[in-house]
Amino acid sequence: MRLRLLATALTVALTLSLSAECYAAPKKLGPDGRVPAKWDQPKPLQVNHPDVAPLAAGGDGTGYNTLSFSSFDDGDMVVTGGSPTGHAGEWDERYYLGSLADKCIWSANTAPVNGVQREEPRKYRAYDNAWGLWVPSVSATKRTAARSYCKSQSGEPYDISSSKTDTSRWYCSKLAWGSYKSAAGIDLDADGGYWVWPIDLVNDSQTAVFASAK
Amino acid sequence: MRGKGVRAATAVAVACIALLAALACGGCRSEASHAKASEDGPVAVVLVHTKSGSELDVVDLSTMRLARRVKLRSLCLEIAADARTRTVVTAQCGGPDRSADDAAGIYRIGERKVRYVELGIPNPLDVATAGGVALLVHGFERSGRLVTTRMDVATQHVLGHGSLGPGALAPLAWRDGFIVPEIDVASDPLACSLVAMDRDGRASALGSLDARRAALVAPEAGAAGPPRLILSRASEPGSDASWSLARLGASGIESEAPISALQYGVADACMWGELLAVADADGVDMSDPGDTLWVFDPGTGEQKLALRIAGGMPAAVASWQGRLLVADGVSGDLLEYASDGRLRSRLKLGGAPVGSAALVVVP
Repeated sequence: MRLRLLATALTVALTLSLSAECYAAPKKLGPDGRVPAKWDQPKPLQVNHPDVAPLAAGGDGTGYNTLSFSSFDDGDMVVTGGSPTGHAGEWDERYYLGSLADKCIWSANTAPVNGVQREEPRKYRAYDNAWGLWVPSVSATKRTAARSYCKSQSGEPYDISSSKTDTSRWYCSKLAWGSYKSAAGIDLDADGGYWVWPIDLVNDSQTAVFASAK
Repeated sequence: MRGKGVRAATAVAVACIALLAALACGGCRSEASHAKASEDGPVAVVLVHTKSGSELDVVDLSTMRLARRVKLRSLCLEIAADARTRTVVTAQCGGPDRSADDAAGIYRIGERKVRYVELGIPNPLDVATAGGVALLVHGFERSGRLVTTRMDVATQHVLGHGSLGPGALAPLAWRDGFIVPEIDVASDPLACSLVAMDRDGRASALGSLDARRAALVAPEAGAAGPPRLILSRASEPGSDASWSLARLGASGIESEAPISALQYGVADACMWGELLAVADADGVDMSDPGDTLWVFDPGTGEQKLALRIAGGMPAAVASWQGRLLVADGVSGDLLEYASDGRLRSRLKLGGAPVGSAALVVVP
C-alpha cells in the first residue's frame, strides 16, 4: 500500500514537473492539454565510454526494432543502439507525410561523397534498439530552429574527427548536438569531452525518452 | 513393454497431428506447392529485411516456392524491375558511417550474385526503371534539391546526375520516362505537383494537382495502360470525402472518382487485373500498423473487396495473372490471394516485423 502511494506520488510529481517546465508540441499533449508522464520513459542504464572517436559508428544496419514514429515532432531526435556507438538523426516534420518512406530525418553520413543528408524512418528500424528523444525545456520554436539548423548544414562534409567548435564538418550525433547548441544554447552531451556519441544524447539529463523499442 | 506402448501411442499421436495440420493448411497452399522452384518463368522478388540485413527472395510464381535467397551487401529500402532484361535494381542506401553505401545493385534473375555500380552520390533511397534506364533518387541535396542518378541497366553505366525538388516522392515509369510527385513543403496547406523526367534526365513540370499527397500506381507487370493516381486532400489520413482515384493521360488527369477514406494512407498499391488494390497501412506504429487491403473499381471508385490481414500489415503489393501478392510487414511472409479474394498460399520468408518491404514481379 505504502509502495503504491509512493508510486502514485512519484507519477503525479513527474507529470507536474514536466507540465511546469516543458514546452510540448501538439503530438505530445494529452486530451487535457497537459504533457502525460508517458513522454518521459525510463532511460537505459548509463554505460561509460571512453572519449574517443566512435570509429564503428552505427554498425552495419543489421538487427531490427519496432520504434513508433507516430509522436515525433520537429527537432525530436532518433537514436539507435545495438552496435558499438549507434546512430542519430533529427526529425523534420515538414518532410513527414505519414510514411516510413518519407525523407524526414537529418543526419550526417559518409562514404564516399559524404555529408549532411536526409534519411527515412524505416532506416532507423534496422538496428537492435532505438529511442525517440525530445528536449522538454526547449520551446517548440527553438526546436524548429534546431531542425532548421540541421537543414542549413545540408551537404556539408562528414568528419568523425571534427571538433565540437567546427561548424562546417559533422558526424551524426554531432549534428543533432550542434543544432541544440546553436538554436537553444544548451549542451546535450551527457559526459562532455571532445566527442559526442549518439548514446550521450540519450544519457543527457535534458533529454526525455518518449519512444523506445527493441 | 510399457515403453514400447507409449512410443507407439506417441507415434500415432504425432502422425494424427501431422495429418490434421496438413488438412488444416490444405486450404491455403498453392496447388503446385510440391513442384520444384524455378527461376526460368515468372517470379516475384521480395525485398526482405532480416536480422542479418537486407536480402532479395526470388519466388517462383508457378509454384509459389522460394527459388533463391540473395544477400545484399548493405541496407536496401527499395527495388525496381526491368522486365526486358529480367533484372532487379536495388537502391543501396546502407547504414551509417563505414556501412553507408552509394551503390545500385544489379541482380539478374537466375544468377547467384549481385553486381554493384558505384553512383558517386550517397544514400540512394528510391528507384524506378523505364526503357532500360534506372532512375535513383538520393536522400542527398545539392542547392536545395534532391540529387538523382540515371543508370543504364544493361551496361551498368551511370548516365548522369540530375535533381528533383526537395519534396520529391517515389518515381514511376511513364511514357518511356519517369513521373514523380513532388510536395511543396513550404506551402500551407501542402501542395502536390507532378514532374516528368525523360531518360536523358530532362525534367519538366506537368502541373499541380488539387491534392496534398499523391501516390502513383503502375499498370500490372507486362500490361499496358495509363498510370493511376491515388489523391488525398486530407490534412490527415482518415478524413472523409478526401480520397480519390485518378487516371493520368497525356494532358494530365483525365478522370477522377472518389473513394472511401483510407485510415492510414497508402503503404503501396497496384493494379489487380481491372481493379486497383490499395494497402491501407503505414507501419508507423507497429502496435497498429494498418491491416486492410481495399480493392476498388478504378473508374468509378466503387469498393469491390476488403481483404483484412489479421495480425499483419500489407506493406507491399503486386499482381500477376489474377493473383494478388502481398508482402506482410509484420510476419515477413508473402501472401497470395486468388481473384475472388481467397487466400491461396502463405510463404514464410523470415522477414523482421519492421513495417516495410518491397515487391516486384518479373514476368
